[in-house]
Amino acid sequence: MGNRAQLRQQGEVRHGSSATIVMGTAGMQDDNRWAAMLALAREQFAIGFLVFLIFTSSAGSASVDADTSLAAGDWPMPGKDYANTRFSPLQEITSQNVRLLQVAFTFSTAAPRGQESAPIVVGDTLFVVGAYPNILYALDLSKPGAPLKWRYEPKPAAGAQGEACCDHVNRGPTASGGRVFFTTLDDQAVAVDAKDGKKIWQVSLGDYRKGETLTMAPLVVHDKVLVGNSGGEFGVRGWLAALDVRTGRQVWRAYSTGPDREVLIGDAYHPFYAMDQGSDLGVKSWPGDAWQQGGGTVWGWISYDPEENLIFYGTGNPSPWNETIRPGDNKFSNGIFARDPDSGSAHWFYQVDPHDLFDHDSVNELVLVNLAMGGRERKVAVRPDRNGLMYVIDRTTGEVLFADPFAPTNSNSGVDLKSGRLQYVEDKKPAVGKVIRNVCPSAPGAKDWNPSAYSPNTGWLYVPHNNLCMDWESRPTSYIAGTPYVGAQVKYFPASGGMGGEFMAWDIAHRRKAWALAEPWPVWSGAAVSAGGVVFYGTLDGWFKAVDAANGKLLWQFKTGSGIVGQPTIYRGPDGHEYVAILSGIGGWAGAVVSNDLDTRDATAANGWGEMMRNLKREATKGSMLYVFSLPH
Amino acid sequence: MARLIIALLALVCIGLGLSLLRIERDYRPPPGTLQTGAQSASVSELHPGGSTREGAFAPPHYRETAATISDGESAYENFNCSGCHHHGGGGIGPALMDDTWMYGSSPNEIYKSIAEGRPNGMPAFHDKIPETALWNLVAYVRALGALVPSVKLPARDDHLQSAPPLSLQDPVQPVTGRAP
Amino acid sequence: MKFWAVALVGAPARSPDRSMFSPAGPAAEAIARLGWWLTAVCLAVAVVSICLFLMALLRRGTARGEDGGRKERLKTRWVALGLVVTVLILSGFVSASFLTDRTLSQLGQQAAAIDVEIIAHQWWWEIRYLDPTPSAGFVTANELHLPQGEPVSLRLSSDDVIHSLWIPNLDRKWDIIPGHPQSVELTARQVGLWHGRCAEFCGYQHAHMDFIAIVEPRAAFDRWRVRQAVAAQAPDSALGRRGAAIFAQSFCGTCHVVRGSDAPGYSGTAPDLTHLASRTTLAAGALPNRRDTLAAWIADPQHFKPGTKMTVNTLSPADASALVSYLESLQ
Repeated sequence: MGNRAQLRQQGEVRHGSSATIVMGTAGMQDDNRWAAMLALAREQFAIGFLVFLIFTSSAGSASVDADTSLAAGDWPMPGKDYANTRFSPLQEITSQNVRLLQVAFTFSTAAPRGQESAPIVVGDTLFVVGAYPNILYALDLSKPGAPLKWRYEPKPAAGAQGEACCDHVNRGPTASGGRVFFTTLDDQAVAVDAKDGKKIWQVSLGDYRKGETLTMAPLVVHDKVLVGNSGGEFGVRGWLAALDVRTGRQVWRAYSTGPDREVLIGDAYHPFYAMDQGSDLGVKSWPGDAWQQGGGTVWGWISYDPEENLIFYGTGNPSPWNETIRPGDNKFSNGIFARDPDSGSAHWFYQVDPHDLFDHDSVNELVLVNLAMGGRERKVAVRPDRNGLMYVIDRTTGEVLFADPFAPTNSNSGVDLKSGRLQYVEDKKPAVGKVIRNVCPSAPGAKDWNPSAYSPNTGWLYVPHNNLCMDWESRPTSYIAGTPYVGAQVKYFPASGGMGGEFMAWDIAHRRKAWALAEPWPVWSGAAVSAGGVVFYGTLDGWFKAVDAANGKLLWQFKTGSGIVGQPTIYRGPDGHEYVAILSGIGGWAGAVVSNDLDTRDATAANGWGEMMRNLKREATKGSMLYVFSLPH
Repeated sequence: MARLIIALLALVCIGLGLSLLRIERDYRPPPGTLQTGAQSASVSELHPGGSTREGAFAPPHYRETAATISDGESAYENFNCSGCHHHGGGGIGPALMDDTWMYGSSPNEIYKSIAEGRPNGMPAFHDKIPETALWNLVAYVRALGALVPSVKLPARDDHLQSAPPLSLQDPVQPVTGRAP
Repeated sequence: MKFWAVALVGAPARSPDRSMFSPAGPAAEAIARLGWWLTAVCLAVAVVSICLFLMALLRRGTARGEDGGRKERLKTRWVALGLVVTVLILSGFVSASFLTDRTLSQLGQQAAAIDVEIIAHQWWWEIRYLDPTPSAGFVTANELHLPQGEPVSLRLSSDDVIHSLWIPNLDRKWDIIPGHPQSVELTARQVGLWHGRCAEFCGYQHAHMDFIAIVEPRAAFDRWRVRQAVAAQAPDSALGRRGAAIFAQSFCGTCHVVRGSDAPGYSGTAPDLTHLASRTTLAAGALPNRRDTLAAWIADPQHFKPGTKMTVNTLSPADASALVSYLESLQ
């Protein structure tokens, strides 16, 4: 009896896109279960590959690669797959043996600022991008010590360093079709040949002198590279662009503010809620011409559903932070777009925080999951948002199914599911010249950009996040192009309990925490989870930790040389063994106190971190090292 | 006795009269100083050949008074300096309240940093901020760096408390630091 | 009678503008009524007191005890009478005050269809008109337009020091304290231009912080509002274009905003100049809005308002002329 028949006997087997909760396997023996899982995984990958072939052939692309990017052992894009699960099916490292994990090799990216990149692996090469000056390195995994294969130096302009709100970070490259794509701080998108590091194209997408930078990891969908900008603290108008993979020529650009024809809102646009319906909302919901400095930058994560053929991403905060200057809902900032990847045309939009009050950018990851609800399966996107709520949204329509608080939150009382509107609490609304105290969550949010990981085995989301509140005072500000357009003085401190961060497992189906680990510092690294039942994450004082996915027990930890703000990845090396890679180099917004040598006597340093990070310099120093771990072999 | 009272009254009247005198402030820059900027500042401390001729510390019209520092404080917010440097702690830009000065701490050198910008991200403001406001900013930046006697500095402002009051800083010896 | 009373109390008597005794709205009428009563009663009391005092001075005094207790009883009766009258008058004042307050607060509770935010700065007034469709809102300075007879909601705030908005012809003084924004309602009945001023010492140029309220019929107000919401058009003359370039590229554009130009956005530092030429005065009432005064102001603001944040600008005559032409085109 085949595994599928076996499963059908035991329960229901759910098909779907790349991430599925297989509820029926819960009662099976481990061995059978893993075998069944692998079988299903193989089947899903086969379907996915077929879908990929169909789409690439219809788009006319001739490069149907011996596509190792679909191989289970690769990690070709920061999210591992289009659903952003960050789940590796490898099982060599298990909760039993992870305590034996040791350093396999290291590599210095030679740029001691925040290292937010995810080490990408395709076949026998590992790719990683360092902080400014954004050098792309390729390491040859087939040789001992993984020596440098080649390096590519995009040579970004030095002035761009003064236009980056949150350290000179880069969230990493992405690999597809024999090419590697990444962005630079001075608004360049680059495509490089994966074999020899020769430049294929390098295009300029914006003007850093106006405060616009690029820090995100691109995503390749069909024959297009998707790139979004940063600069919501500088009054920069946000956008997401699609570039042709072969030439870098822009195919479409969807702005986050402005008239419908620039936001690419047309006949396909069917938002679920009335508040998002209407024409030219990107102009009308701003005073005067404020949409031109409106923000809504796209610096976070993009997910793709091949079945629906939709990309999903969030837009950042409206400019400035001081909300009195921009009355109105400020569309389309702080919301989630679903777009057709080939034309960019919007299918739906949901505004998570209309008229955002607290810089709660809506750019966090949207993990695509199929959820069994009420007897049928719903295609949803799960996201732990900045505003403290865990959103579960129907990704075909944009309807919010649940929005449950996962961290201390007193600035909103949840979402009114009828209208979709976030309900702000009156006492915690800012006013110019008035200090409002103890607002939770803080501006970095209950969780910032650092991505969580989803395990289909447990059905849980593993979320590294913050436990912070803040005092806030709105101040007057003026728009001077190329300078910060913020208008608020803030300082952050731990919420109740005195601990600055938390790493938790969230049970999606039951809408509650399964387990949680308190951390003294906000957890600013990403997470990765494997089929071996181990979750990896790092802390700001440099500990790289392996935790049991089932119960949160700390199984192993290693003190790296600097704080960790990067994204762990799990891959299979050419020798067949499982490796875990992480960059260690403190920085990013939370770690800027160390990476930019700030003075924490000023509680508002780095836009609010001085207070919280008073002692961080005593616990971490700058670094720039890639660590790769494996079991002894 | 009566004469004593009259004398005392006269003294009081004179005192009151004197108190009505106001410190004259001219808000116009001195003639000939417009757009001339800072002279003789050098970023490097290295002077080959053993030359000891130092550049001028500050131009003759430069004043560090409570008034110029206060004007500098409001200019610091108006021109978005606080967006990168916050209240001296730094952020996007380096800290201004510590003792490390990458490009020098003399008024001329600070003026040059603001007016001409610096290579790793400090914008050039010479055609965006008028001369008087620039020198006021210089005074305020030096106050942030504890290089101004505390008697001239404010004790508190009515805003979210960020850094300890400027008037309570301990004086420091500025140090030339390295550029990133 | 009015003239003498006004002259006596020392209010500017030449024109009805700036006078609390020339009410142009319901709130001002209530205040003016109270003012007249207070004036009249205090005047009467003053006259009576002076007469009695003169009588006491000019009468020949009689020796104590000559008349037995009659003088003492008379004295006691006079004192008692004085006390009773004083108490009655003071009670009358308190009641009148209370009744006026009640009238004012009742007036302040009408639903206002028009929302305006006024932010007091040193030494100018930022005025933001809000609209249910946010993009129809706009920012202007120093001049508030009101429709005749309709209540307007004003949200008053300040971000630097304590100011106070007082338009004598229209309403009472509203203290504006940083960190404590307040909402008030204003209704004006008479069409016209009414001056207001800052009524709480706020710094060196406190005396030159005029506020202008222009009351016009609803239709005219609507037309004005629609025009103000439109961004500035690019100038059509070469001189104007040169002026626009100078504005955006030099110091002007760092602090001032002209919507639709190369100096866009929002400024909390200096007045929005998008429709500068449509205003009646410059620099919060310091100067009338004419070409020569505008040029003089730009060249040396410190001459007219020493201590103001705007600095001296030395431009070549050609550049100055271009700049002024551009600013004059901002209708």
